[in-house]
Amino acid sequence: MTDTQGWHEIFEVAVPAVSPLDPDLILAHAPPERQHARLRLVPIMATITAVAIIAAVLTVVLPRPGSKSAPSADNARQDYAALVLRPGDRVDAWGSIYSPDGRSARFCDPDEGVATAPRESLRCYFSVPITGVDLHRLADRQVRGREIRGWAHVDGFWTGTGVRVRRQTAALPAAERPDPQLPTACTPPPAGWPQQSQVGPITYGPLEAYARAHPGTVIVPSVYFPGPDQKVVFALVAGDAEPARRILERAYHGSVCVVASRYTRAQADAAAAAFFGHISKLITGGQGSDVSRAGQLQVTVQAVLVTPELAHRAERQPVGLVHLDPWLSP
Amino acid sequence: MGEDDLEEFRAFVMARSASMIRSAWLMTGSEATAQDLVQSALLTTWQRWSTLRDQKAAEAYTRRVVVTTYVSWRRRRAFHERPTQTVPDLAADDLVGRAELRHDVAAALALLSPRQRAVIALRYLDQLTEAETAAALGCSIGTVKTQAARAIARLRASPALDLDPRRVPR
Repeated sequence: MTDTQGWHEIFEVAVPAVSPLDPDLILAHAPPERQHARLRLVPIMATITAVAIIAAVLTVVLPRPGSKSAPSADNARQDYAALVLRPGDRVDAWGSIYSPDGRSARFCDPDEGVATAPRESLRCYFSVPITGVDLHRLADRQVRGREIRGWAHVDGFWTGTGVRVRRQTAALPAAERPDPQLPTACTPPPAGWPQQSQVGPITYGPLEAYARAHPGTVIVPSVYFPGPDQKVVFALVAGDAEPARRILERAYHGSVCVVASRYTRAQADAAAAAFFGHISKLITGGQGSDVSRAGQLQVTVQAVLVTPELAHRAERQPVGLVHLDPWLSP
Repeated sequence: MGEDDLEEFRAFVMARSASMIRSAWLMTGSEATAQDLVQSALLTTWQRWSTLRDQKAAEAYTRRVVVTTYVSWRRRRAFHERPTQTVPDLAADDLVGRAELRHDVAAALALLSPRQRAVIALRYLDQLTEAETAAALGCSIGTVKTQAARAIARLRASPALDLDPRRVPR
């Protein structure tokens, strides 16, 4: 592991998850015409009374509750075209409902709205129009002036421009943050993964030393905790994994999993750029270099829905590298 | 600026502000200050929005403003940092290990200069390249390398930050 990656992991864990800012709060402070005077913003924490528990942090990809398409898939070929939402498709999803005026409503991607800090407006951004929704039957219903927002599970169909509700249940999201699971490519030794209390503390030292001696070999380092007192260092390596495995298994007394990468770092970077390089009102989050359940590089793209264009973009990438995770899917 | 600009800006803020606040947390050690910093920078970004048409350009510009604003706040002493003995912005549901690490990272970072902290945040949390970090800081790549090396050396020497990986909770 390189020094940069080691420090990144420490800071990634240490820095708290936070909620995105409210764009309208920023826009409310913008002067009507461009001016040179420095503006003093009211510290926004003064208006925030709750601690955000789950944040839309792009560096952490979590499965959406109820997602039909778990982010950590196995790099199998995903049928992107089958994910494209077409008029008449049935939609079965939960999210928050937002109405600006008590009449019209939008269905909001839950990635944006789970337990975020209170804002000046109840409005959401990653959303689609919704009709036929009962604004009185929402879980955790909030009313501010004419605005209404609350949670619902919706069974309906896609009209081409929005969701038409057939059935609606007031339901709160059951957001869970699962522990990352050891990739399926990692099989334990016959006696099981060693206990740290028996083999001694497992550090990144040997992996760092290996990476230094073999530059460019270790594509992704990671660490997993398959059980109490168990820690497994994971290394996704370029080329033949056998030399790395031989050296690292000795150094780690078996508490290591070395997997040969199917993809290069450059391929993952190019795929990530194809999705995250531009402002999109459809893409809500993702991860440029996730590790899939199979233990391979994976670019996970969370989106409101999959359009034919988005599916086409995914099809142009190496097979199995891109995982589309739409909120609304057929 | 039109409605499309507004929608694009809103989408940009929703998509990227959390990441930028986390980066600013490493600089300031405080979530509240980090939010103020990023909010202030995003306001500047909005005023330049018509010239920043893609996410990369907008993000690079905003990060640059975050760093320069942070350094200028420090210069004006308007920003009061406390070399902390208490855990800053600790969420109630935090794991003990994570809270300890956060506390220790904040204490160790307090030993660094503002520019060194900015380099640490951009290089090691945001994983920008040396060139991108130099662009955000408005300095040369050589300066980034020097600042990063000095910062890391200080962090390694910091008694607050025991680098045993066992301390990094899952």
